[in-house]
Amino acid sequence: MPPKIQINLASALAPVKAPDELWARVDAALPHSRTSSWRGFAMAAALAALMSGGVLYLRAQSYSSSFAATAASLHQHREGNSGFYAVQRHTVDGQPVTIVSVADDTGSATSKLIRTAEIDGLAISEWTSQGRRWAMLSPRATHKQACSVCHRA
Amino acid sequence: MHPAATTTQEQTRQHQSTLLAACAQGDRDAFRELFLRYQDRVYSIALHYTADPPAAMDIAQDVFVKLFSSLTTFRGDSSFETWLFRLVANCCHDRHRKQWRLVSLEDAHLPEPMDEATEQAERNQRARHVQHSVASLPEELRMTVVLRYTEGLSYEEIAAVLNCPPGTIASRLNRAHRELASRLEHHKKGV
Repeated sequence: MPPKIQINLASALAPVKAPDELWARVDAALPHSRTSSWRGFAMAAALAALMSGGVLYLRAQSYSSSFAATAASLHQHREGNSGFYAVQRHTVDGQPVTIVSVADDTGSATSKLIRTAEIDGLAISEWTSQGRRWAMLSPRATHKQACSVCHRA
Repeated sequence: MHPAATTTQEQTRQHQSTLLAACAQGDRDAFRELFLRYQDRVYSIALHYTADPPAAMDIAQDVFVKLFSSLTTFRGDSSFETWLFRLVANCCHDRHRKQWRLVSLEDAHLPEPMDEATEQAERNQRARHVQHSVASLPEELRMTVVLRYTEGLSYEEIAAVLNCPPGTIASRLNRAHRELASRLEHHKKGV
């Protein structure tokens, strides 16, 4: 093999650092056993209820938690030409949570992270993959931050 | 080998064995430690296989989720790393198989050089072109090249991961090198 190619390969294919958000995504998709601190199932069920038209998918799965969600309010915001973002306030296990869902289908073929936000202690990231929008949830988030979508209203 | 080095290796093996046992029992803190230990290596293989960071994130996520649920099946017949890399290769293969629309190389989300010195920009451009060329190789050649150059695995180790004879790995690398040399030479003429 020509040495030049070998050097280029070793350099071009050198290991890289994984993005910081990888753990949040893995964590959100893992089956959870700590029922006292995980509300993923509640979020999954609530998001599933928002899947009108089947355009919203939830990656997280196999959560276990008690679930008592009550919709307190619902409002929608138009985001440019990309459709509606629905923001729904719930009470889960006696604590307020906010759920952001997306009501359109971009048709994108690639996975792209659209936004991340931490709301009521839950990190939510939205991204597209295979032409669908997905919501990623990470219940381990600790700090609270108002929803950027709501702030624009 | 120096006795102290042997002791350190043995301690590392024991720690890993304890860590894997804890993960297999659903210990999330242990799994977090395992994740931190391997996240860069898993992501790097996925990234160089796809040349597409979002796709690499998807693959890395799938790998760790599958890892968490399948650790109880790890019997230690091979090293943990061999077993893990096999899982990565399988996830890459699954994605390749299921992908209903391929991303063109021109659309791949590799970072563009911004306001860099010309020399650095040229180096980056060359590296990107090599990455694109690798990512467009036939799948069996691509994973072999990535395991060889990103992970630095030997022919025997790659053979263990991909479950084929070392001679096949040598043959694939030879074909890949010729293919890449041809593509890169063509690119050089084009520039």
